[in-house]
Amino acid sequence: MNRRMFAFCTIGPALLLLPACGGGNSGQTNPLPPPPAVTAACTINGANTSVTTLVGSLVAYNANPNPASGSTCDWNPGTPSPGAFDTAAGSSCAPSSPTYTATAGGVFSESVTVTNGSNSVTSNCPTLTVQDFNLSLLPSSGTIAPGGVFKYSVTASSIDQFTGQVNFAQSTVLPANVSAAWSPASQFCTVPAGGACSASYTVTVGSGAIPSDTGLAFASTFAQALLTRNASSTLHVRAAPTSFQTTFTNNMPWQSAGSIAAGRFNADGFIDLAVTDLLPNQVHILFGSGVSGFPSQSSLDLQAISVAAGDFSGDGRTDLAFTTLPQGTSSTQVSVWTGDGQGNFNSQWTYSFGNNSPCQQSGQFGALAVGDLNNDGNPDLIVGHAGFSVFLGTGSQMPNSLMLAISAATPASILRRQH
Amino acid sequence: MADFNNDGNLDIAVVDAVSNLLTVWIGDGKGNFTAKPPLTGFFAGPAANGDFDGDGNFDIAVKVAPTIARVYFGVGDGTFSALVSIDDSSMDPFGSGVSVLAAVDLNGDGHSDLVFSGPANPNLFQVSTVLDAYFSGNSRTFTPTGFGTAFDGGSYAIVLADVNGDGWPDVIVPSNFQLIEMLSN
Repeated sequence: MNRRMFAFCTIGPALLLLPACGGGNSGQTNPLPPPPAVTAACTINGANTSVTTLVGSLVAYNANPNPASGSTCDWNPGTPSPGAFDTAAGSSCAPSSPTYTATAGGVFSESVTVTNGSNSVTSNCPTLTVQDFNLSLLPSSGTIAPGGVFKYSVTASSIDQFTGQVNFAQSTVLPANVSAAWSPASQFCTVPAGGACSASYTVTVGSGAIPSDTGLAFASTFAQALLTRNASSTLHVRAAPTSFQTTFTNNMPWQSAGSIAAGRFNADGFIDLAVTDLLPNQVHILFGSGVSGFPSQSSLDLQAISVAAGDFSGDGRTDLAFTTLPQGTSSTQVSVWTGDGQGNFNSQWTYSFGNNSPCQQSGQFGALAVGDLNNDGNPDLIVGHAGFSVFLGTGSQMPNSLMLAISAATPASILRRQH
Repeated sequence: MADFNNDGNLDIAVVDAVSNLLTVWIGDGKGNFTAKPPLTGFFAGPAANGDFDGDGNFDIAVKVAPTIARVYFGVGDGTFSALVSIDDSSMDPFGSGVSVLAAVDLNGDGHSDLVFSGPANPNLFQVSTVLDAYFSGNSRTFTPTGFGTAFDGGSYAIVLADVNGDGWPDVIVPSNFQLIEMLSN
């Protein structure tokens, strides 16, 4: 809020009374003309006491409410230096001049020297304290689906050692089926000098239908005294799907599709697929194009039973893990082929279960699942056999050797992580 | 795999279709696992985990008979308190017993829906597969979606991914007859 106020009351220094000139004393020598009256009474926005204002506010300094004709002003910064103004001697003393847009800087002191002829008077201006908060609203945008929850973090931080209470508010009307709550429940919190005050704002979309995609623009506002700050973020509320369709894609390269995995194998951003095929023994890689099927394909020569995708090598590119039964052997294996991010895969690591392993005894294995079981950020492998085995990924070249094997009498399948 | 006991660590659910056991192994986040008492008393087939009733706890759906899927509702501590059965002949009308289950929130209501793919005809020369789904609702109910479709070839796997880039997961099923069947929205 800007405000401009002018005070025209008479303030401050004693007026110099002019002596009356006696017209009849012709015998006397005329004295020199008296020096003109000079007054100085610096105010800020009309106030003659300390003024607190906010960053961005327009501040009007006034050297003298009624400057004598011919007066000039010299504004001098105090602290911090340079202060609000620094002008050369001889500058105008027009009322409310100069004006100043308050910038962050703490407490300003300023003085003005008014000169008229040989007389000059200096007045110290009221101290000007400029206050400010920074407001942040994170994240700056988001997407939420029906049934979903989205949490904002709102923080007001003090500048200039400003202490005050802030009032967080969300200014957009929530659509039907969308609710939100502040935590703490009170939207008021106190910003300590030089510190910060935070609150979270959690938006929840009910499980009912959202009629159409809705964009929510969240403008977060707080105010203290004259201070208003806004931070905005856009939350996009997605409509629930209402129609479904099934589509066929013909002429896929396999004869006996077994296991399937999805991921982004090349750099085009579309979902790609890996499908195992035992007739012949190949793994088919299908490169997605978004909507028009899988026009580009390649294959790996591998007798794979199951396939799973994950970034086992920690290079940000999707790799593939397989359980395999190599031709001409009875030794079942688990292997990792690292992806190069361009759709190519190279065998990097293989673990062979021995002939007396649970895999062989069960006569069946192949279940394969991926997840971060030890919370180190690297995907781990779980292989189902008679019981299951866990291989902990290191995020470098390959998973660790067998970490855990739990045996059982009969074959197991592992529930994969799903949406 | 899912966090069945809500401790922030992934747990492993294992189906033993010979002994007919479904066991949840609780992970400690360091790679160690402790088994919960298994679910028993059924013919265990393919299974999937999801939050079907939207209560924040992971549930498990398991095929317990050719035409019956059973959903066990998680309590949030790795155990399950209630179940419902979905009996639908379209799941496996010829009783060949093979199908695949998956859990995915198709309609965006915050509940996992149950998707299955299974053979509709066991005749080797006329193999076909049905892909269908049930919407899960409040009160732990399951409603046929009505968009089931049959296609040629046998199918033994489902993968969920956003193939068409609309922000919602699609259901992708490969069939032996050189097809990919996709259910999308």
